Amino acid sequence: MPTFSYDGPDGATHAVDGEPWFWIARYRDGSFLPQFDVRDGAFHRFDEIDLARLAVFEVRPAVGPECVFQVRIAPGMRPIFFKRHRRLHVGTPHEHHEVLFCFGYQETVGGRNVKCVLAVRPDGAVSIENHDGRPE
Amino acid sequence: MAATVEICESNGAGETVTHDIANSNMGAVDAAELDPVANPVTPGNNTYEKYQRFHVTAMGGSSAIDNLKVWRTGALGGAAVHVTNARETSYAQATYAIPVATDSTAATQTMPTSEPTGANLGVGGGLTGQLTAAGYSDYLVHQVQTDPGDTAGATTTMNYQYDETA
Repeated sequence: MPTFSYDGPDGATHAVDGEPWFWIARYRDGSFLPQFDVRDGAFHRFDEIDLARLAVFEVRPAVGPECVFQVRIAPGMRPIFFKRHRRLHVGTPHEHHEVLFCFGYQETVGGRNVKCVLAVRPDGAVSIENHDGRPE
Repeated sequence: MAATVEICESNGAGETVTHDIANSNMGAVDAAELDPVANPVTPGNNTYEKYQRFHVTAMGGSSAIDNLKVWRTGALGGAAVHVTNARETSYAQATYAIPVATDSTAATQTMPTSEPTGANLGVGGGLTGQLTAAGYSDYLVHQVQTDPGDTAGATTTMNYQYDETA
C-alpha cells in the first residue's frame, strides 16, 4: 500500500499507510474528498467530510476487482465508517487479528435512530451489521 | 489510519505493567504471560486475578478508539467459572488493586462466551467513552474460579475487540 501524509495535532507531518478499503466523499457540486488522495498524497480524516454538501458516501477497495458501495445521502443522514479490530483466541495457536471495514449511514426517523451498517470481512464477504453495538 | 493498540497487564504491588502481552495465561501466580504448567491451579482454588487494559500507544491519524468488547471461548472444565468486571449494564470502572487468588470482589459476573451485543469494557468509567489520544481503557479484571471436582486441562481463551474511527 502507498504511504500518505497528514498534519497531526502536534503540528508535525506524519505518514500513514493506505488501507485495503477507503472512502470517498462526493459532494453535490461534483468535487470530492478521498480518504487517501493520490493527487497530493494527503490522508483525510472522517471528520473532514463536509456533511452539509455531501451527496454520496462511497467505499471502494484500493486494489483488486472493482467493487464500489455508494450511500446516497439524503438530508439528515450521516455516513458511518470505522474499522473493527478483532484479536481472537489470544495466546493460542489459533490466534489471529482480523479487521472488518464497516460503513453505512445513520438517520433519525420519527425520533427513532435508524442505521444501516455493512462490513467487509477479511475473506471479502459483506455482511449486514445493523446491530453493531455502537452507541446510538 | 492505523492506530496502534495493545493489551497490557498489570501485576504486583507496584503495578508492574507488561505491554503487548502475548497471552492471557492464568494460574497460581500473579504474573503476566505466566507458564500455566509450572503454575497450575489446584482444583477448588482460583487463579490470580488479571488486570488488563487496552492501551493506545499512537492514534496514527485516527480520531477515536471505542466500543471495547471482551469475551471468552473454549470449554471450561467441570464447574469452573470465568468471572469478570466486564458487563454491558450497570458498568462501573475498576481501580487497580494487587491481584489476589481469593474470590475477586471486582470480577463478579460471568465472562461472556460470545461477542457481546454492546461494549462491555469502558473508557474513563463509561461504556460510551472513547480514547482520542494515547492512553488506556478501564481495567478489565477477570479470574477463573475452579471447583474441587474439576479436571486438569480445560481451557478458556480471551478475545478482544475495538472499533477505530479515522
